[in-house]
Amino acid sequence: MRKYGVLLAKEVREALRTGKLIWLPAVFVLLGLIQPISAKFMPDIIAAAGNLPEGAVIQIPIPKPGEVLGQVLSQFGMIGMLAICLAYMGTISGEKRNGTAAWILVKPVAPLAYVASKWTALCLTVGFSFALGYGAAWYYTDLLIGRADAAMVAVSGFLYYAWLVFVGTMTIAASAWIRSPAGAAFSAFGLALVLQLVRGLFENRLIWLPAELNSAAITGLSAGESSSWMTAAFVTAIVVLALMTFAVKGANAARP
Amino acid sequence: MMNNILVAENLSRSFGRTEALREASFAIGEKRCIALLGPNGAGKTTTLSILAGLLELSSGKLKASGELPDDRRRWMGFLPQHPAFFGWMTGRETMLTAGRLCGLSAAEAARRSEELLETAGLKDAAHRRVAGYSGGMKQRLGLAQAVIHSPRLLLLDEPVSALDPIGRRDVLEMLADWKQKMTVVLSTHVLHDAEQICDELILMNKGRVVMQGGMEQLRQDAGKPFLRIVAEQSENASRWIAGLRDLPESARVDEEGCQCRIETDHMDALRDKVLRSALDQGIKLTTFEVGRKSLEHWFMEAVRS
Repeated sequence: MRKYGVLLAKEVREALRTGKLIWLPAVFVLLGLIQPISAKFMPDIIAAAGNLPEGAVIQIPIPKPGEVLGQVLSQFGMIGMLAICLAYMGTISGEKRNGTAAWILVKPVAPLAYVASKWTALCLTVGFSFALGYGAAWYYTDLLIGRADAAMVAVSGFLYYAWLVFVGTMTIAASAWIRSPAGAAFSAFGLALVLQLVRGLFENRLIWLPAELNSAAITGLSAGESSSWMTAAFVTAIVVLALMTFAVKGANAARP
Repeated sequence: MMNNILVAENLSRSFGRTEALREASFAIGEKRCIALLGPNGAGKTTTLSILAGLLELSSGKLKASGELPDDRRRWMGFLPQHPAFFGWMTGRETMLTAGRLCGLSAAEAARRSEELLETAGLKDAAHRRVAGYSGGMKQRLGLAQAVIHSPRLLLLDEPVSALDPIGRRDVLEMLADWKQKMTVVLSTHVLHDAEQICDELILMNKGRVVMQGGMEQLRQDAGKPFLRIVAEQSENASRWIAGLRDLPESARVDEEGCQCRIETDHMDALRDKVLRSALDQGIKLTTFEVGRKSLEHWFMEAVRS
């Protein structure tokens, strides 16, 4: 337990020094800001772009605040998720390759503490980045468009955060087994996309898939009521535990 | 009988089809400095990685002394051939992290860190990032962090092979001090390094242990002592040297003109006789040398066979 703390401190310090704790939040804040601003000013942007005949009337309805925040989450869903996969793709395989994983594991440290510290650092970093980005989006939506239902915003934020952590956990597990960082990022990102796709294909079945967290968060914001996500949350928790066990095995097996 | 802290019985390890280690057996005594000596590919790194717990055994057994905890990592320090550090950490942070991970309290880790940074000559560089350290500094840092928890057994993989003469001397000096307090096992392919600080030798070749023994003992066994004589050129001298063959103490004689090399089991008697007869017959000796076949010689032979 104490060693887990030492390793966690190391992970957080590493995230700070290598700039992960700066660029990941920056990506999320940028993504979070673009949506409300472009939603508000879209008519002006199109008008300013020119090429329109004199006297053309442009009427684009400004979306409801909830819808804007839903779109923000969709934005996070592509680029944000990719950023997380890229940030954690080498978290174990990289340390294995350069020998620092052996440096840690040759000391009396349980592999579980090693992987768990990485996972906790992921939760913290992603939580910080997502909170900043989502907070920025909420603030600008409030400023430019209107107030969204606070309870709904909070629930959706939480669901979406859980989804991002799930994707990050997949990345960590992949990096414990796949040597190439790009391979790990690709498998985690691809798997997340497939999950979302499968969830989308079967409208009302398969609502237990972890990807349901993602869609429940988005539909909750845009439609005002969220579907039942309890089963999906439960399944996700179990899968995260399984992925962690898998990652511990990977960190332990085939040490350099 | 000396206490063994670790006994290896028939260790084998294969990677796919290559057998890196074949039924290697040896014992590691307490407070000894043991060199694993062998050419490249002899299985030294595999052996050390197994001892360090980084590799699983294919077969064989490792028995630790009963009084020690089951988890070897608690009482063992390890320095790999190419020590790896987190480049973004400073030297001091590396030491502190290593100490905490080995189970020391924060205060204890801080105390040991300062002490060892001083020993390793890294005090002035302690606040700098490890990424900017030179090879020699990294090696010294690697050594320092490996002993932060005062292990009973220190495993070092090629600790001096990649260093320049100064770095090499620094490391050997640190080891000379530490071998008073703990067992040191180091691998090397340079006999000279092993001879300098180690008192025991495990010779490996092609995954097997060729022999293990005390350095002094091996030196004795390496070959018979010999006497080398060179005399000033003269007919008398040639005749005298040819006559040495008949001395009862001579085991083997190689002669060539006015030089000869005599192997013997009774050096003292032979030396007396040869000197006396040289004086009696007025032979002008230019060289009179008593020697022993060097370990280097013996090492080459053992490895080739």
